[in-house]
Amino acid sequence: MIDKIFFINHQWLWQTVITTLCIWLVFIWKERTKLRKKSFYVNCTISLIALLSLALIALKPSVKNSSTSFKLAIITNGYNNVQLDSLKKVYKKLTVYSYKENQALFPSYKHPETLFILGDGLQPYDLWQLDAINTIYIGGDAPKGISHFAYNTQNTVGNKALFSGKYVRPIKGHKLLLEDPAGKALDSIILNNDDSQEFQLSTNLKVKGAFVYQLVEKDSVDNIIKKDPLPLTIKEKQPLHFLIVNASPSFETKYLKNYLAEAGHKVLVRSRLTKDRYKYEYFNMENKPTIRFTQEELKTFDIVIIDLLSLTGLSNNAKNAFETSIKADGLGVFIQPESNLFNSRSRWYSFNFISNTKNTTSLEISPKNTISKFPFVFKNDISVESVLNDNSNIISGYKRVGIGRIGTSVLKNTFELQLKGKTEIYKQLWAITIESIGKKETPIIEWNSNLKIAYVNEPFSFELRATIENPIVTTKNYQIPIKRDIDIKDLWKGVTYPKSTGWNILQNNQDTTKIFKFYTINNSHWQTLKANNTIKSNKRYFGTNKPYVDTNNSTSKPINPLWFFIIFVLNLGYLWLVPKL
Amino acid sequence: MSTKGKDILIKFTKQWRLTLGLEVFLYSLGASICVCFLSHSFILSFIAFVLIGGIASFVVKPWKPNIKSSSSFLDNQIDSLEYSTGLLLLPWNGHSSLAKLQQLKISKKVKEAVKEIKPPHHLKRASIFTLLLIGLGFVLNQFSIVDYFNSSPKPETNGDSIIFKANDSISNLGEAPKLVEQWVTIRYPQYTNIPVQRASKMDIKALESSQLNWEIQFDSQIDNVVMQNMDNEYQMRLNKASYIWNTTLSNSGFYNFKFEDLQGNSYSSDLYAIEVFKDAAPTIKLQGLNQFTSFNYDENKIVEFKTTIVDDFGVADAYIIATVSKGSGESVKFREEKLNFDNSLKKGAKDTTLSKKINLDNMNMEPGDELYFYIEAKDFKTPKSNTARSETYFAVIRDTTSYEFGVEGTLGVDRMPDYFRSQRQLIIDTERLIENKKTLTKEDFNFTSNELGFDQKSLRLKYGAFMGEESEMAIANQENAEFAQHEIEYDPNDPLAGYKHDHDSENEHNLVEDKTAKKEADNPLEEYMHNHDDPEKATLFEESLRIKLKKALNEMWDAELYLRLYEPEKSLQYQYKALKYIQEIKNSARIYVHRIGFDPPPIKEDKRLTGKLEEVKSFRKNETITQEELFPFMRLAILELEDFKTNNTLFTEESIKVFEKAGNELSALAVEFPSKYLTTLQQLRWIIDGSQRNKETFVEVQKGLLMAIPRPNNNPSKTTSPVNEINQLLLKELDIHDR
Repeated sequence: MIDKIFFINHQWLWQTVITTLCIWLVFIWKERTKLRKKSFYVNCTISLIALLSLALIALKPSVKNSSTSFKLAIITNGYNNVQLDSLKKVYKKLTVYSYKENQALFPSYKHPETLFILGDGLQPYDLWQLDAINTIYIGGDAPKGISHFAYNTQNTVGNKALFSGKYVRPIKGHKLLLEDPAGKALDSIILNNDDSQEFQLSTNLKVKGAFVYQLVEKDSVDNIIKKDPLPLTIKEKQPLHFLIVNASPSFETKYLKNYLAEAGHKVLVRSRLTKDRYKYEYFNMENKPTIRFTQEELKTFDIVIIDLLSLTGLSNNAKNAFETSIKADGLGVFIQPESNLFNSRSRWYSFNFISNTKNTTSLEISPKNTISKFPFVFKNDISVESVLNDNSNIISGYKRVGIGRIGTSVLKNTFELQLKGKTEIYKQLWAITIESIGKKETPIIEWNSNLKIAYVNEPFSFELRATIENPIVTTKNYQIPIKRDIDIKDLWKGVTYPKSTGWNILQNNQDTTKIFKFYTINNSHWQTLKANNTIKSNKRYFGTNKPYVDTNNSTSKPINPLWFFIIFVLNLGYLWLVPKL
Repeated sequence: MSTKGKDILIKFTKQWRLTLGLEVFLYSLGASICVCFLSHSFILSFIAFVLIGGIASFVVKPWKPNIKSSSSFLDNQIDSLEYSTGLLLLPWNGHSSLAKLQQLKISKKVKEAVKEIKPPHHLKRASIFTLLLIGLGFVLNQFSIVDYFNSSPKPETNGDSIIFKANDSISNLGEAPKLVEQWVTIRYPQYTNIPVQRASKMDIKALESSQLNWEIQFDSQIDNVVMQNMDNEYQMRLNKASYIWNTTLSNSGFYNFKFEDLQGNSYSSDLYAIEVFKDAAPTIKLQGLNQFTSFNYDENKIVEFKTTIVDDFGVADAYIIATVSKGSGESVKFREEKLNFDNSLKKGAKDTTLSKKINLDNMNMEPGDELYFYIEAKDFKTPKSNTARSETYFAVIRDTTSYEFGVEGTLGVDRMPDYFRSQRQLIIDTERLIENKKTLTKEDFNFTSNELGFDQKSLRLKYGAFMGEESEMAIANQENAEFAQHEIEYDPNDPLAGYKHDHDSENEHNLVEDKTAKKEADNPLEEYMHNHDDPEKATLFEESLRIKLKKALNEMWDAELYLRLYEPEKSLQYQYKALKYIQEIKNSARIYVHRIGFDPPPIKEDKRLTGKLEEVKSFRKNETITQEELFPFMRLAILELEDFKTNNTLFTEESIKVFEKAGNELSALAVEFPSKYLTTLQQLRWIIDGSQRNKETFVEVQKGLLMAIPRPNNNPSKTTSPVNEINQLLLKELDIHDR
């Protein structure tokens, strides 16, 4: 029995015992006149009992309750009543709590033996409370609405923003519309009657800045059912620095350089006139370097477009400089194809091709147009990454060399597209190719977050990649503690709790220009998506955590201090009354 | 008695006329009431009355019935009158007694008959028609259907008046100054002769460089009246009680007014459009003339044409610029003249027709000379008039003296004499001769046939020349000569033969045996010689050709024979055969060259690029051809609006500047597509003025601006990707295993 009692305030045990003894000794000393009398021993005993009960009030003794039948069910959003009823049928003494976010699930002294979660589940930030409890996640009905949604919150002017998602149990005839910040519909889709429907909406981004697009669901008579915000930060285009090296002039280069220069890029074209004589063309450039292919010179360029003859004609030094530039500085190289390229083997720049009888292709980006090509396609190697595809064939691709990329294409005379008036497709084709091959900028600070949207007063976790030492992150004048990743030195993680809706800003104190804008909404938006994420995190959490068998699963109950107080009062009453009698 | 009968007839006639007149009246009354209902205009209904009355009376002809037609009508209608009403019209005295009796009888009967019968009429029809018309007019008026077709039946004077809005919504509570008068005066440039226009409508459409004058007057005293025009503000002058501003129109755009009352509240008006149109250049149309005319030198060389010149504000001047070119090649000379039209131009006429007769002889033109001319017209536009030019027209006097070079068949040399007729020509002529045989006299026929025979002979000789035959004559002469020599040499009658020391003969001394003939026969070089003298050995053509040519010549012989025998019908078949052979020869003589591409001579690899390059220099070119982003301020404004929309940010001077510049960019677009962007421009104005700064306006303006910004081009951009140690390590590992 004794082992079942313990003190809640056991940390004060010794102090209490000593104090009690001292007070008792004072009492004995005070009673010394009655020594050798029977009453002396009685009084001493009575006073000890009174003092002990006083001490026990302070120590709060508790009795361990080993009754094992306590079971708890927590109902959360979207729970199913039938499930709850059947649980109740099995466990007659089932206690049911409803879940309140960000609050204790149950009193700390009451540890349920088994806990059932019904419905979507607990918010990820509340899950820690169940670390030590045997929990069974039952779940509920799959929520109706948009369960998955993905898009790039950071985009660039002129790019196509894609918004793709999945709608669970759509209502036939309802429409999903993508609206711009001013409420103009940009793209739409009509929902059908399936169990779930995948959709994709897109628009071309026109203006830079931070905007809130909207995803609107309307019924068949255009009543707005739901309106969810889509925050989007749109950046300006960054011009690239091109070097085009040609052994002989070609129409392909001529059209390409015009397109690039008109688009505002810095373009240096070196075309050979004859042996050791070159024609240099500088577009949108202030300084006019002569190119001798040293690593230092190549560092300034983002992408080198070179024909095969020039590439093979490079001196050994130049070739080495080239290779190091690609490997170490991340230079992108695009080799303008010609028939020799497909036969040359085992060079540092070569690719594997498979011959293909077709002389034209229609790309996936514009299936209606045919473009002439060499009768080859890329061999689908593991090292080749595709840029442009025709069905399953890779038409343009690149491989990584160090941190740089070397790419080429089997397309021939793409300028014909311009002559045919398909300028848009020509531009699209080259924009995709160049963007994927070109040098990637390594930002000093890069912000990132898995959550696209933050909720008010809920944790918003973010990542920060910074090459600077000990970055300091602040928001609205208070600092957010960040934690360095254990493996990756420049990755830092932090959590913030945004207080207001709308755009919130995180900024780095060392470089205040590098700010991170994230959009905060209240709980009324994106409910299905949130519910779905909750289900996922709950499943993950309770799926990996093996049912926790608590060896010490009894609950303890403190003894009501009133009992001790009554004993104390009775004893003191005796001590007070006896001399009077 | 008779007069009484006649009177009855006259009365009947009058009644008839009256009925018809009533009919006409009913028609026109119905029409005019209908028009009155529709148009609410008495003038129009009166016009309709007169017009329909005229038409109806023309159709009904109420003046037509006369006494005679009445009498014949009555005769036709009533049998008892016995066709004798005509008697009533005649004088009593002239009748026979029987006639008098009949007249008396009839005049009685007429009296009764007239009571029964009414003159023919369609009064019923006319009244129904009238009632219908009135009903229709009433119904249309009741449902005001006409208003659908008539956009503004009553010009609303209030609609045009400028409405000022307080820029600060609170000040609306106070008494706003009211507009009393608004006028815009358009003074067209002097030359247009358009009178000064004064209107209260503020949307202006006027000619470029017109003078505009605005006057606005208010009931109470106000301050700081400005006219805002795109990017400028003009302070209006106070003149007496009204505010004035003048300007000269230069380009289209929009404007509005703004003023402040004495409490300092500012008010601004809606936007009004100024549409400027330009004085168009005259258009010139030429009639009755081909672009290219040519004359023979003996013709009447007159170029005659009419031209119509049209200009929107009148033609100031029109003339012809003519250029005569003489000579050809390097010695060509030009002479330019300005010609006036034959009838004088009426200056200022908007549409004028002018004519001109140009006599090329008066222009000092000779055969071979060319005349180019065009018409130039000017209008009155100041300071620089619009000039229009017609197309250029050509007139040429043919030069027949020039020699035209012709090449026959495949021969590269022009060897054909002028008189030479080809075989085909001969066939044509022969056929024509056969055709005309009936019409020609026998002499003529024979003569022509003989002539053709001669031509056939010439042709034969010509082709014979290719065979190596010198000519028939030459052959004949040669034969004669030989014969003559032979005669000389062997003339048995020559008495001097025995005495003369014959130096003239080739073998004068008879030193050698005369083996000439024999030598020639076995000349060893003969096989190698290129002997053209002997037609049998001429090698101008290869063997088969020679045979063909010979055949052709034989046919020609026969053809000539029958022509000379005046039997062209028989000759024709030989001519055709000859033609066939000649064609074959021509075709076989053609050389067909296979078309091949340029095949450059091969260059040795080691010789390539070994030329001297001192003169070849590297070349540098520097260009900046970045295309500027369109509408930068509209983009900025969109971003600013996003901010204003969500947060209650205060307006700063900078943002207002941005909006103003965005407004300028948009107004350029709005001039082109007013229906699309004018509302947005107006709302943008309100935002700038501060009269409507609320979320709805921000959203609307943002929507409009976003719509106005064109779709961006595809353009690659620098992308970012983080580089970290783990990634790099992975890549390194991959690289190692790749090898």
